[in-house]
Amino acid sequence: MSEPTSHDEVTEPTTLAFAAASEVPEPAGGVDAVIGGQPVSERKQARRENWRLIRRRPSFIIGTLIVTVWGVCALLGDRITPHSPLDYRSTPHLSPRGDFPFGTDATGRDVLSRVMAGARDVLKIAPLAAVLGVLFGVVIGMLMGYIGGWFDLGMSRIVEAFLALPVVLIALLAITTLGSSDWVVIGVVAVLFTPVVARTVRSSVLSERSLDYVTSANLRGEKRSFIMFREILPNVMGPIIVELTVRVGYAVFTVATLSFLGAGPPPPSPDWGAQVSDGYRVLGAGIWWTTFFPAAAIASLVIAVNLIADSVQSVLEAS
Amino acid sequence: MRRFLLKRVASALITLWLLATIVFLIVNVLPGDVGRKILGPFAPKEEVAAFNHRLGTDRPLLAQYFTSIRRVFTLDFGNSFQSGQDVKSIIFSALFRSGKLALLAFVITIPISIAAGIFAARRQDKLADRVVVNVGLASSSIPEFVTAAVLLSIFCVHWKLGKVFANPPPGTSVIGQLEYLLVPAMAMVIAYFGYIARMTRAGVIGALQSDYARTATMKGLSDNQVMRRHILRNALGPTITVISVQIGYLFGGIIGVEKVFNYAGLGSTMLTAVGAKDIPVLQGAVLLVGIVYMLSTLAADLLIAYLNPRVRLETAR
Amino acid sequence: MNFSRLNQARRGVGPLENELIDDYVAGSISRRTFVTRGSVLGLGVAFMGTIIAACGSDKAAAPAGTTAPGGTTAPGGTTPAGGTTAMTSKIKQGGTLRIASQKPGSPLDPVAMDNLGSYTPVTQSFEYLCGKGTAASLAPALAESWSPNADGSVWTFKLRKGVKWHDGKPFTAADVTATLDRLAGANLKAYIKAGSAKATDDATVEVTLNKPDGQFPYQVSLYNPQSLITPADYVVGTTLDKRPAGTGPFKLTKFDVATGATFEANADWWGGKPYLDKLEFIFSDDIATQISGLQGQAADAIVQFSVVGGDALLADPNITVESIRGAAHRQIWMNTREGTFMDVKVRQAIALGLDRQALIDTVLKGKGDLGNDHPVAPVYEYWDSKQPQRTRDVAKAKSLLKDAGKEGLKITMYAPKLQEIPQLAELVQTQLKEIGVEITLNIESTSTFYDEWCKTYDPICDGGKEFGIVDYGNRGTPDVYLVKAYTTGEWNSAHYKSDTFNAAVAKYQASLDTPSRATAMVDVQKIASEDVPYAIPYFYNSLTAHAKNVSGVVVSGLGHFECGKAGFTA
Repeated sequence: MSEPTSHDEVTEPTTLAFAAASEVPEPAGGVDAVIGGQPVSERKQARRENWRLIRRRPSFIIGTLIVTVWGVCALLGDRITPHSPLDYRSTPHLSPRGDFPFGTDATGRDVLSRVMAGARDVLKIAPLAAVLGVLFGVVIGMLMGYIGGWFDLGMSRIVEAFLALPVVLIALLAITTLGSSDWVVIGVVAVLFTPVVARTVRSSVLSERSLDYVTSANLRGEKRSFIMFREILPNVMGPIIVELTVRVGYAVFTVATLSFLGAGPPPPSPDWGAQVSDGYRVLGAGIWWTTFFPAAAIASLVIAVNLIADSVQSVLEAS
Repeated sequence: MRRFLLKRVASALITLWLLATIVFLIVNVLPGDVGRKILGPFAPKEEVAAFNHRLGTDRPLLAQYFTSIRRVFTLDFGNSFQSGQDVKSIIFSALFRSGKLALLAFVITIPISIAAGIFAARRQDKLADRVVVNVGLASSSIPEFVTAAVLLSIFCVHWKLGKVFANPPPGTSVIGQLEYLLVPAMAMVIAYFGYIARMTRAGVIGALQSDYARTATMKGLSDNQVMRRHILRNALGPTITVISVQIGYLFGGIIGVEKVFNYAGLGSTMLTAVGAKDIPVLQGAVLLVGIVYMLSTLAADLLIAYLNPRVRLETAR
Repeated sequence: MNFSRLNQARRGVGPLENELIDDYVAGSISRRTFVTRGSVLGLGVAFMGTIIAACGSDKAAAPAGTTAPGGTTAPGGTTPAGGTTAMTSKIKQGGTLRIASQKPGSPLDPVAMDNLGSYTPVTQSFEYLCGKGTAASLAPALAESWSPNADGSVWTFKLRKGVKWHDGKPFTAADVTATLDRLAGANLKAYIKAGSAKATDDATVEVTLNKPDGQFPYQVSLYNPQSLITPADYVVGTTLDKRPAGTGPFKLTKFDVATGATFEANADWWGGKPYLDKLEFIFSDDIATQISGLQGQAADAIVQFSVVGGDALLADPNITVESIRGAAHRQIWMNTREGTFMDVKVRQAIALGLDRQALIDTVLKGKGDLGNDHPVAPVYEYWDSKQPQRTRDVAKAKSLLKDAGKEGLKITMYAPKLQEIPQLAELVQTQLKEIGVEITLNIESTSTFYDEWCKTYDPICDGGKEFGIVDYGNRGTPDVYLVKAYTTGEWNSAHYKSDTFNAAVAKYQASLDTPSRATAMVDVQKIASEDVPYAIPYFYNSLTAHAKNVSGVVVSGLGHFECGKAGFTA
């Protein structure tokens, strides 16, 4: 989960990654892990079974717990923080102590309160950006995989070109251009995620296309849109769900990096990335708490999302 | 093989053209007037207009577009708006610096993480495996800029073991440069270790469960022989792809580390160019990253084809 | 009082100088003011010492700062050190000073450079006619002395003799007239025309001004950074790295805009061979990195930093922080022409809502002077110290808002992401909440901010935002602030227009001596404070830092970092 860019069609260490691996024809053990074409009722049952398996995995439980804690912080915000995250002032740069467990920052605000309130910014932006990115990606990827031919060829080149862009920088450019509102950040991150998702979905669709159930649907004379969204889509749902969870993690990461580089929400917002960006300047003076706690918050959320993604992935893979 | 190569090169050229177009579009929606930005808010209008004329930024967009496309294929990006220097020399020396840092990071990361990945895969679901997987997950979940800042303050400020400014002075020997580059490289190693190790682990596990691995084991080959002859060849494919994709990223996206260590690589060059609306530098740098990215994915494909002969028989999609 | 000595001394100088001497003799100005003003008028330090001694007001024959580093008499009889590093006696010869400084934001063009990152390296090689003296005063540099005619419309500069350009050619009056002719079309447009400067001999230049100005030397000093003297055959647009020229203590040997620059000592410098062998600039756009570099001993000095983020340095026992009082300040502008702040009561309420001392304590860690909503800083000797200081009065602020019908005011405040400004904005937001004003902050990157700040640039600053914070750097005189922000409108983001104020400023500018400037300033300060187009909470000190073993650096707060007399102590 290292990179905040989209150069990651191979997103996570799974067989999914094989399928997604660019122009590289899959080595052994590749796409055959994708769920085959079972009848609908069986599919439902399989889904229920998968869900049960996922819920029982410890990594899923831990991940969900952490995400829930941050979710509560985000929802309740300054109603549960010990002090006002914005207005309360004490002595600047107090080290962690009884009344300020996380210390105070450069203008005397309570770091704990700000870290708690900061969950809102990231949880407002990251999941939405990921959902939008996956949505666009699925539509484009399905079309590419299913229509094929010139459309696929053209889109593949565009996707490739997008993948070659240094994402953080392009996001930074776009945000400088359009201003740094929540919607701009969501939109930019979503657009930058789209090609990656499209590519993954395309590969999955390609491997589905040659399967019997699609051929028979074609023979039945079903409409293209029906085949695409009613026949193929449910069968590539596995990789899509995995992609979604993985993308949420990346979105958290990307948003934090963007605010570190100065394109996040403006002060006095308690955004985590922005807090790290302010705090790391004084690390040299031994003032570690203004950097450590927001950084740990970012890492914990990314790890939590990844734990969830991991368990979803391993269950879907195994089925 | 030749057909495969030709196809790849042709599609790379098309991608390059598209890339140039995307960059042109993005750069031209940047707010503000270039001349105004460079001459400052207080320069008289006439001076700004004359400046824009000199730069050619007052020409019709289409004409500017053709110029910028021509520039991509001739690698001539003109002069920097900000410093007046030749863009080519700016971005190539930045690329060289980023390349050095990335190379060092990779030289350290690849053996460690691939070894860790194989080690974990062979002990799947045992404690050692869980440790590798979770340490990897955690290490790659911390943003590089955080790792970089922490390493900087511990190793360079507090213990003074490394250099705060990662740019080695000219004339520093290769070994001497290590002193400058090691700490920033470590920030990258930490970020990529988990990623590559997990990738390798997954690849190896997949291969271990495959028919040919089972067959080979049944044939009576030792575990080590199976690993070397069969599994690694197959399992390294996706790992190499990850690495090649990361190379593209490393050159362009390692902004955080470069910023923290004041390293004049491609990332910080681009960051400065964004702030100053230095379009020629921005264009040149982004395209250079694109070219490097494409070359590295091409190299990766060739490497995979070499390792896994089956791939050679198929043609690129 | 030794009148014969006084009279003898007076004989050699003109009316402006004699007025100044009169003021001092009469006791209407302090010794400090006398020295500062005298330096502007071009009085030598030794001369002023004579006057002071003759008046017997102090035992010290010479003003503070006359002794040059190393205990010898510095060129021109004064020290170029503007009271920076005092203990300079043990500087040893040799060494390389590594300076972390902002990346040049423009080519190293002495005329077109426009930012600190370029000033610092360029001024190692190029020099001004007048250099930095103590506080806001001037000291001789390429000009050894200067003097005005009776009404301050013609200034005569006596140039230093024996100065050589780096290529070995002698520096003469022709170089100065050529430079001034070039500046007449640009930076000094308001003051001189091409041909205004005439060489009366090889070492004397006479400059006829468009209109009298008793403070003209400031325009050819480091306070006007682009007024560097360049060779007569200099071609406009030539950058220092293309043609390493100059008269200064260091010659450029290597330049790479991405990483840094190297200078070597100019053994032929008129000020004597510099202690340092080399200067090494390390360019970095990130102050945090520069600070870490200084702490991690990867650099010996950093040119400028702000208290926010600079805590590390203030607390570090191995590092000396120089805090230079100056006139640099932040203006909280309020559009006086239309919208929310048209009513002066609202503007006054905002000003009354500010707890200035708390702002200085938190944002500047005490390193600044209280502001009183006018741009005349206490460092100026004509500053009216008797003007009552505006302090926080929440009740009054609330009642003013009520009178104006603006209770529960909600407003967006714009500010650039620059040094301490975001923190200042946050604190202002908190403080004004108590008077019932709800502020939404919009902190933008500097480039976006300045694009929007004054939408149209000439002739009037128009279409900008109605409320925000903007920065002003240090100047030797307040003219720039008074003219551009308050009267002509070029930077007038508050759209302030007041005939009485303009008249007061005109009176100040027409004054040729300190007492009349001080008299004029009383009104300037009063009107600005009462009308409050800009709330000015503080004047901040410029901070620079270097390792404990570095000594003798002269800093201006504008980006100058003069190393001619700097070195490492043993």
